[in-house]
Amino acid sequence: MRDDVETSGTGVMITSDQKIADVAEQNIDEGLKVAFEELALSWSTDTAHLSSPIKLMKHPAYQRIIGLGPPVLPLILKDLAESGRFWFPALSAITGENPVPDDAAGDIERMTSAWIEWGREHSLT
Amino acid sequence: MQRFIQELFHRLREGEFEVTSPEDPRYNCVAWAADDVRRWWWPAESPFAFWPPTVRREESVSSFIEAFGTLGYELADSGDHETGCEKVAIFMSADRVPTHMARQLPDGSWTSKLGRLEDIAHVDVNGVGGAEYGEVAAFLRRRKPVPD
Repeated sequence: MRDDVETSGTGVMITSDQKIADVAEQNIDEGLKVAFEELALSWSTDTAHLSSPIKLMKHPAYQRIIGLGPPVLPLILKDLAESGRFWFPALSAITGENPVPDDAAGDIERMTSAWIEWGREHSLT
Repeated sequence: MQRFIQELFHRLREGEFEVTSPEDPRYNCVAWAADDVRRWWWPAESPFAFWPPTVRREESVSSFIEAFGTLGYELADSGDHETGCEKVAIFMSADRVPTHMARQLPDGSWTSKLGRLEDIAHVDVNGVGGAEYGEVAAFLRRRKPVPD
């Protein structure tokens, strides 16, 4: 079974797309927002001086943010738009998507634009 | 910010480094060494970072040497200043994984972009060495490109 597919209590297959659509219709939980901000601050403080995306991704707080799943997407996208922090691997890990064109690899402005546009299309921004 | 930087890099002494740019998440140390302020360079999985297309994406010093080979750099014996040459330094951790790059300035001092933070100018290339970035693994040099 794919990681991004789960079976609901009624046996209906729920894909990440469905989960993302569900997130778009919900208000952001205050507890989730606080958890995200604390984890993001921990990650950012510890890794701001590092250049390796691999190290950025491996940080425990970053992994915990990924573990928060689709409900955290609006918060990540908002932070990406405001700070330009390196959320691309987290976004790909949570959504299974990659809206960034090949020729934009490493181009933070174009990568950010691609993800913000993706968020807009999914009503997450 | 000066104090925060000194807390990270204990070898940087007061008066021997200065912050030379604002914080900027658009480029990292490798991009800065390559004179590119538009992209994040690293041999990580695409599309998360740029790496020269002809060079394997592997976190090794040899992959970094090859990447800068595409810009005309070759191995150098030292980081000593040589008139008419540009030099860069590749840092690696104790487990031989690249961590950082610095570029030599025309006066022989060095410039480093600290992750997504600021650029700094530092007198000694080893000023940013230590617990965070490890030590210099290789110096590379190239003849200064002739302006168009």
